[in-house]
Amino acid sequence: MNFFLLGLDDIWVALAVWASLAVTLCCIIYGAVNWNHGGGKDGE
Amino acid sequence: MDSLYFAICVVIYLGMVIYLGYRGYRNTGNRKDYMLAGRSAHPFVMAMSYGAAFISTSAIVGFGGIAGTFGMGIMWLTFMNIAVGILAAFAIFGHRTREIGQLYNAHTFPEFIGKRFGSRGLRIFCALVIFIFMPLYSSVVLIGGARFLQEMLNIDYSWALLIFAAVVALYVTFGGMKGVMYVDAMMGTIMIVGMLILLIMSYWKLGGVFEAHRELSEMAHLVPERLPEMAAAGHVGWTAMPEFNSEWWWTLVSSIMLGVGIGALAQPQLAVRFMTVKSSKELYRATLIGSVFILLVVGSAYMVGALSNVFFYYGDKGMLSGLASGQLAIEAAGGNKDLIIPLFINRALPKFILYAFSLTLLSAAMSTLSSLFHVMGSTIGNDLFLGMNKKSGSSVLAARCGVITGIVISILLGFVLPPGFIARGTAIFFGVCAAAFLPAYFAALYWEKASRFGVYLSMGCGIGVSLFGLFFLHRSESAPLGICQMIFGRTELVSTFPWPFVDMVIYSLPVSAIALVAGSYLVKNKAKGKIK
Repeated sequence: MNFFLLGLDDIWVALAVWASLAVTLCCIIYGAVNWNHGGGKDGE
Repeated sequence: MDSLYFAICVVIYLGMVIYLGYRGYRNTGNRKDYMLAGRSAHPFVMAMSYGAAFISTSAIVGFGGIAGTFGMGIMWLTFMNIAVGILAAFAIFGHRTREIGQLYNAHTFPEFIGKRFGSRGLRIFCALVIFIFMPLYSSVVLIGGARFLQEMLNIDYSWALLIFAAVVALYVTFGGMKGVMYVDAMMGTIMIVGMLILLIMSYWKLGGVFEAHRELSEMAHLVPERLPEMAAAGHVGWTAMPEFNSEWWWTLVSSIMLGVGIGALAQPQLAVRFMTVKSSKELYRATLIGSVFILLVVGSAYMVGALSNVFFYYGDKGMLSGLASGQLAIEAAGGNKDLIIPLFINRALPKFILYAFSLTLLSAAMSTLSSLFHVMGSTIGNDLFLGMNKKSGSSVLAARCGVITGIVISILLGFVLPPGFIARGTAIFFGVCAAAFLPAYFAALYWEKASRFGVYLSMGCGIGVSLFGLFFLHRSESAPLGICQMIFGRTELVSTFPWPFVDMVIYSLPVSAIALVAGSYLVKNKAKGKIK
């Protein structure tokens, strides 16, 4: 629990930090999985 | 700071800007190059340009200062900026914007809307909204950058304003979108590096992540002791969310998280960048790059802002060599939130970080400003002048003239408008754009049944309700603007809590969306064009 809270005293603020990291990870996965997708001749 | 040292850094920096702008100029041969970078931008360039245009100095220093004053609750804006401003924007809006923009051969956001709904009138209407409201935002960014240069280089404000505007004008006017994006890529890289150094050095200075957070948490008791007015407004500590349903809670959630977070989706200068790439592949790659950019630049600013309180307060641990200790960040900054982060860097960290951060701020201001100037130029030249006159002359020449016109208007506004009005420019622009454009933009991408009448009604209602809220309901704007006071003798029409603190986007956006749907069913003059 202490690690999750990152030394902060409000779970909602800790959640904001973790949510920001998580959504960034989602973007990274989204971009990585589709890294070579959609580069067809007609730009699709 | 040693002005000569910094002046040399700035000269080298500006030299690189001019060089990249020149490269843009040499690579610009036609309208597609000038407006959309030839629809062939590299994903790294596109992502950096999108991020750099998105994040201005106010996002770093302004919101960082809010974090220093009110705490880390503003990290939810980081989440919104990435989840909505990057992921939703690229995945839901970006790919379709690129495809449909290519289908209709649109080069600007007004042209995109106009051609999609088969209405020259809509194109001109969108262009007029941009022409009227964007200078408010650009003047704010211009003045912020000029004041920054004034302080850093120790020069007169008027000279700083003119030099700053002239440099940006040069590479935007001649380099077009290619020049803008090449420079943005450089500036975005500087911003990432600068903010990352700032974050790492700050945590190092304060004893590490957990230690710094713990110390800041333990300072919560100082809020009611030292900041009683802010405590009354809902501030409970720098590592906690504000008290639910308090004044500050409503400001954080409605204005900052929702207003800025959702408002980013309908910014014309960001939307047009989706049309600068060749295929979806570039957008997928740019999503990855853009998310990391936002996390590092914005997340760092907010965390450092809040943590600066630890540095200013625990002076007895020897962090502040000989300077006054036991102060909160807002106290050390003399009550000016915007000074918190620069002051922290100046007092706590090595000098080279101040130089790096200064260039970071300069980059943030110039990149945002260039994107606004370019859009204003395209709007004035391509959409208004050529569009209204049905001329088929040189779009590039018209856009260049439009850029110059937009810059002149912004400079004049910077000198003429009173400070209270200027300070509201960002809020006005984001709010109006969201309510005016977002429902219509979404419908343009996904709803074939949207009619021209529905879109007109949506935009009109969005703008109308936004402005009504600005002038008469939302205290942050209605009070300094003074129109409500002049007519009704009060700062806002509805004083019942929480309405003076509820951002306009909360009601203007739903009204705009409902108007679009209702108008489209009432008058079915469906757009002539199809969307795949």
